[in-house]
This record gives sequence, C-alpha cells and structure tokens, in this order.
Amino acid sequence: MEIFNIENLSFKYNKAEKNALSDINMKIRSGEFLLVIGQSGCGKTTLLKMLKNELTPLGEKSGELFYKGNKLENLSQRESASEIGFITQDPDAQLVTDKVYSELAFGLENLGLKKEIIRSRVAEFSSYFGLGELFERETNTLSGGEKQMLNLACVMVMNPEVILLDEPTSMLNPIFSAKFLNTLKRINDDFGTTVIITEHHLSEVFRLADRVAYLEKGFLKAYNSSKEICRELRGMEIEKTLPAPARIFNAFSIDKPCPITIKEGREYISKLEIKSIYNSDTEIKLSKTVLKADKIWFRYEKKGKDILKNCSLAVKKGEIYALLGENGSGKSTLLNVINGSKKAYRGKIKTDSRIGYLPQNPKNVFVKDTLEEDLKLINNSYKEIISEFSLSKYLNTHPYDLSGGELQRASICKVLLTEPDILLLDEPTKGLDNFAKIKLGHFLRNLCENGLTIVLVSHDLEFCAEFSDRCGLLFDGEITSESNSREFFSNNLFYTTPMSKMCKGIIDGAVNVEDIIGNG
Amino acid sequence: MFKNFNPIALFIYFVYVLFISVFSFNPIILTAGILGAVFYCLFTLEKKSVFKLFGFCAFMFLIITLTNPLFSHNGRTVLFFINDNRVTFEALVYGAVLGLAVIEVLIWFKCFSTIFDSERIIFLFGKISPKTALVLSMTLRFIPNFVSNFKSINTTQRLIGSDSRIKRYLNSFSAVITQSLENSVITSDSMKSRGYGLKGRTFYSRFRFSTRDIVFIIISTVLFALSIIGRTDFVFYPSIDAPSLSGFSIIGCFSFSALSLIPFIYELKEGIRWKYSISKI
Repeated sequence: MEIFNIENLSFKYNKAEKNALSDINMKIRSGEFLLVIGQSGCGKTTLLKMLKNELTPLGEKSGELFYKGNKLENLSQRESASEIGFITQDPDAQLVTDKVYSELAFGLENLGLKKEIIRSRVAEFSSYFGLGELFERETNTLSGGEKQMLNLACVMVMNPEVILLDEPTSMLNPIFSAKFLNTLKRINDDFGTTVIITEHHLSEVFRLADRVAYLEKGFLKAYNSSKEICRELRGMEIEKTLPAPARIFNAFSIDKPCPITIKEGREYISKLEIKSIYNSDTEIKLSKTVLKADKIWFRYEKKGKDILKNCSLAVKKGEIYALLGENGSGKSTLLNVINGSKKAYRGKIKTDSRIGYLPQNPKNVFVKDTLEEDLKLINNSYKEIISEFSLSKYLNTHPYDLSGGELQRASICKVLLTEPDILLLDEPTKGLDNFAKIKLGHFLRNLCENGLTIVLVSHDLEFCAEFSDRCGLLFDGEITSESNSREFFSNNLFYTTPMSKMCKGIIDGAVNVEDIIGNG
Repeated sequence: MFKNFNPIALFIYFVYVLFISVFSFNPIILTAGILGAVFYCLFTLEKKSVFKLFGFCAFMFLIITLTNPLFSHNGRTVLFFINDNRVTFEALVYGAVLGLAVIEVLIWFKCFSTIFDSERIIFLFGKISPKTALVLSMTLRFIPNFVSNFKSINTTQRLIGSDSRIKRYLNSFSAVITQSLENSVITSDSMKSRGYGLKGRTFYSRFRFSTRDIVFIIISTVLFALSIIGRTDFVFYPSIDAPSLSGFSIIGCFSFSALSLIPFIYELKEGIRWKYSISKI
C-alpha cells in the first residue's frame, strides 16, 4: 500500500521566479526507507515540507498529495501531529523544554493523553533509545548527537506512521551519525515506520535505503532501488557523491549488480585488475616551521582531568594540517590554546605569525546586518578580497541568509582581512554538502599556495584525505600518530576513508576514489 | 527523603511554617522554628554552604540586635546613654527577637529553595496552568543557551579583534538576539509539527500523589491549627512580660516545634532505616 501518493506536484515560492518543485510524481510505499538526494537548493527540503501540512511553505501549489488514499490537506491536525513526524538538521533548535523527560512528554501532552499513558510511553521509548541515563539531564547539557537522538525519540513516542528527516546527521560527527542512522533503520525494521530522509553524505545512509529519489532543480530525475539508481546516475554530477563502491562500479563495468557496502565493494574490486594508482605520493613540503606547540598541558578546572597532556605539534609554512580525533579528544581545545583564548598551564606556543581563528559556527563571526558592514568593521580594503572570493554580489545580504558554503567562505574572508599568516579552522565542513565541500577544499588549497598556513580540526576523513598535506590523530590529549595524508590514511585501519577500507590489501595506497578512476 | 513528598504537600507545609514564623513574635516559637530548619540543613546541605549560611545568619542577627536599641528608646531598664539617648535592655531584647525572626525566615527559605528545584516549581505552575508551566520550562532552557551563545560570539569577536570592548559587547548582543530569533522559527515549527496548539493539552510530571502525602498534609494541618490556637505573643515595652504558661500556650509551642521538626525527623527516620537495612545485607 502507498502511504504517500504524489501526483503532478509543482510548487513555487512566493516571489520566486522558478518552480522549487516541478511536476513530481511519486508513489511512496508504506514501510519504505526512502532516501532523497540532490544538490543544495534542488528542492529536497521543500518536498519534505510539502508532506506535512503544518510545515508547508507559502507559495503556489498545483497537483495533488494523497496520504493513505485521502487528500493530505484533509488530514486533521491531531492525526498529522501523531502520524507524521518531522526532524530537521539543527539538533538544538528543535528542542523545546529544559529537561529530557519533559521533552519526551511534550508531544504526548499536546495530544492530551493521560498522565499514566504518557508515563508508560515515555518509559518505553527512553529504554528503546537508551536514554535512561540522560533522563533527568537538562537538554542544554547534551551533545549534538545525543540531542538528535532525543529528537528522534520525541517523534517516536507519538507512534508515527512516517518520519520525515531533513539532513538529520549533517551537524553530527561520523560516529554519532552512523549511530543515528542505524537506529533509524532499526525503527524502520522493528515498527515498519516509513522513513523519508534527505542526506548529502551518502556513504552511510545509502546502504540502508530501499529506494532512492534524485532531484535536480526541482525535477525528479531518477527514482529507483538503491542498487539500480547508481547506474542511472552515471555521468551526472551527483555521481561524485555516491558511496565509493558504487563510483568504482560505474567507472568500470555496469553489468553486474552494483556494490553498495564496503564488503560488496571489496569483492567487486578484487576481480578488477588494477594494481597501480593515479596519484603519486605527495611530497612533504620542506619549508620552515611557523607554529610550534611545545609540550602543552591543559585542563579546564583546577581539579578536573587533563584535556591536553604533553601535546606537541609543529606546523610548516604553506601546508594544510588536519587534526583528527574523536569527540572529547581535545582537538578544539588545542586550537583554543593555539589562538590564545585558553592558557596552557605548562608548555608553550611558539610562533611569530599572526593567527586567525574560525569557530565551529561561522555565524558567530558576523554581527552586523549586511556582509559589507561586517567587513567594514575590520578595514575598508575588503572590495578586492571579496571579489576574489566571488562573494561581491552578497555584500548587501544578511550574513545569516547565505548558504552554508557561502557563509563559510565569507567568514574566512572576514578573518583574512585581519591579515593572518596562520588560519585555524574548527570543523569547516560541518553542514556543507559535497559540492560546497569540494569547492571549499580547492579554495583552501589556493590560499595555501599563496603562503597561508592552515590548521584545521575535522571529523570529515574524506575531506582531509583529499585536501590536507599532513594529518595528526589526537587521542587522550596527545598526538599519537602523524604523517602525510596518504600514508596516514593508508596505514590506519578504522580511522580512514571508506575507499581505503575497501582497497586495503587489494590495491595498496588508494585513499580517494580518484586514485583509481582518475580525475576525468 | 523529605523532598520526595509531592510538591503540593511540601508547598502547603512551607506555607504553614512560614506563616507562623512571620506572624508570631515569641522567642520560644522562633527558636523552635530555627532549630527545625537548622537540623534539616545540617542533614541535607553540603558543609560549605551550611557554614556560609550560618555565618550570614549570625551576622544578620548581630546587626539587627545591636541596631534596634539605637533607634528604639522605649523600655524601663536603662543600660547607658549615647548622645543623651537611652539605650535600654528591653530594646536590646526586642532587637534579638527581631533578629531571630529574620534568620528563621532566611533559613526556611534556604530549605525551600534547595527542595524546590525547577522541576517542582514547574509542577506547581502546571497544576494551575499547563501553558505557564511550558513557558517557564522553555525560559529555563532559553536563558543558559542565550548566555553561552553570547559568550562564544563575544570570544570570536575578541579574537578577530576589530572593536573596542563596549562596541564588541553591543555587536555580540545584537548578533545573539538575531540568532535566537532565527532559531525560534525552527523551534516553533518543531512545536507545531508535534501538535502544539491542539485542544486539551495535558500536563505530565513525574510526581505522584500517594497516601503518604495525604497523611503528611493532615498531620501538618493539625499541628498548624494547634499552633494558631495556642498562639501567644510576648510584650516587650515598657517592660518584658512573658505570658504565663497556660495549657493552650504549651500546646501551641509544642505543636509548632513538632511541625518545624518534621523534615528533620523524617530524614532521621529514613537514615536509621537505611542503616538498619544495610546491616541486614
């Protein structure tokens, strides 16, 4: 049975020139795990919001939407609230109340359920989601991953028929996002709840999906099972975002079923006769050290535990140095010690260079109503640099209205106006789609060729593998391994790119998909 | 634990105790009230905050005791003169009793604030109006968020280093407001999509109302009524006149002492039971 039936749906936002959605026809089966992909601005989010009355944006709509055989617009508010759940990408702003248990009860209170029913429902689902330990905590004190898991639990307590998720993992680190997606799949399997999800980073979610829909500029370009669709997307720009096994498959032969998981990919790749790889080892630049952290010790509280323990780091001029490590390993703390906002209690930072720093949330860089006013705060010579960054047309835009990639570039631009020699970036790829990421990567490389040095903290292994010169793994407060990127990722077993995992022992040294298929 | 009684029962209890503490001017009653609160504090608070509280109370007590005779010159027994003004024994005693009354209220409020955390206060409001309770809960989430956002924006701006301190604070403040407004759009979507605004919203809390609470309320009410009936005031001016100990006033003092000792006795009982049950293991 179909849960949603979308017929000739078109939608145009008020004041927009083009349709956000054009002539979409889809039949979404009940119990299906549907993945919607496409570049930023392709209409994914709009499509999701059309599926829930309360969130439908203002604009001109044509075509019909059926939910369980009836017109969606006739669905009562009460049914809509309990049967159709919605989760967005911002884990924090979706939360309403101050305590975890009251957040869990929020939806059920709205439905007017009795206290006893709420009590048992909340108990059931907090054990299903393993939230028992967080139950009495304040929602402010949870990590991003825990918050998003709570959001999912809050939707699930209402026993929905379908959950709509708009890039739910884009703000989470890889470990939490894998956990989140696996929980989602478990819900899909355990309860038969229909899942409709949009995502940019496909390596984890692709294998979970039953079917995939590809939107391009508001048109539904492809809609098929996850194995079949890889073939259909061949040669399109979106192909670059597919999981590594599917990309390799598309590049070589497409007569067998397409591999999606690492396991299938290994099997496939072992039959190919590739021994050499395209990219040769990048040389380590032999330039001088511009920044040295010498045996840093740091803790937040007098009696707290040490976050950094005897941590040493040397960064060379003109390189991109990537600091990797799990949550709480001290990556961001190390950046804060380097930029001087936190003081080490033992050890020294040695540098003669000016340091510029970009926080995790690039919005925090901007405080004025337009980009131009904000840049003027630093100095008036922004015109040249802003056109170099191809951001001139946004000078009169409110910085918060920029897209993720533009905002990131604009914030770098503002910091560069202070003329730093070293730029510290805290998770610059957070929340960016693949295209924006690649653009940002080339952009950073360009800056380095002009003499800037970059130290970045990231969870994004594929990004670091492609764009950084050297990588260091921070664990338990110190850098436990460090080498040039290719060596780093081909030596690591777990902490490495999917491509490297797939090629381990079969094609040595392959870290990125381009290593095998070339850049063409 | 005492604080695990239903918040409504606890609230009634505190109203009783504070009512009598405020409206009776009887050193015996006041001392009994202070002892009850102090014992409870010693049982439940950390040592550091107990010392802080007691230090502050002692200070308040001394100040009030010593300043009253400077302003009030009534009373028969003159101790000495300051600038031709009489300093009397009665005024000094009156000051001391006034001091007791103030510190009693202080310590009971301390007990109140340690017991009534946000969850209990929201529960009390929720009984009156679920909407107010929600607003309160949202505010309690909003404020710390706002402060920490402000701090991180301000730090970022400091590191970029473009402005004077005051300008930076103003800019960061306006930025954090803009960000909060942006987020509130997402929050309101999230509320709408989970059915906020439907008719007949209920209120969930983790508290139950059990027979234990009813017994507690009945006992407190009886003791409160007896304390009111047996209420006697002291007369200080022109000379101190303690009321004669009639049957009623003895019952009054006794009842209030019992009332104010309930939290302590309850904790003591639980403590003993806990020890006993451990020794059986």
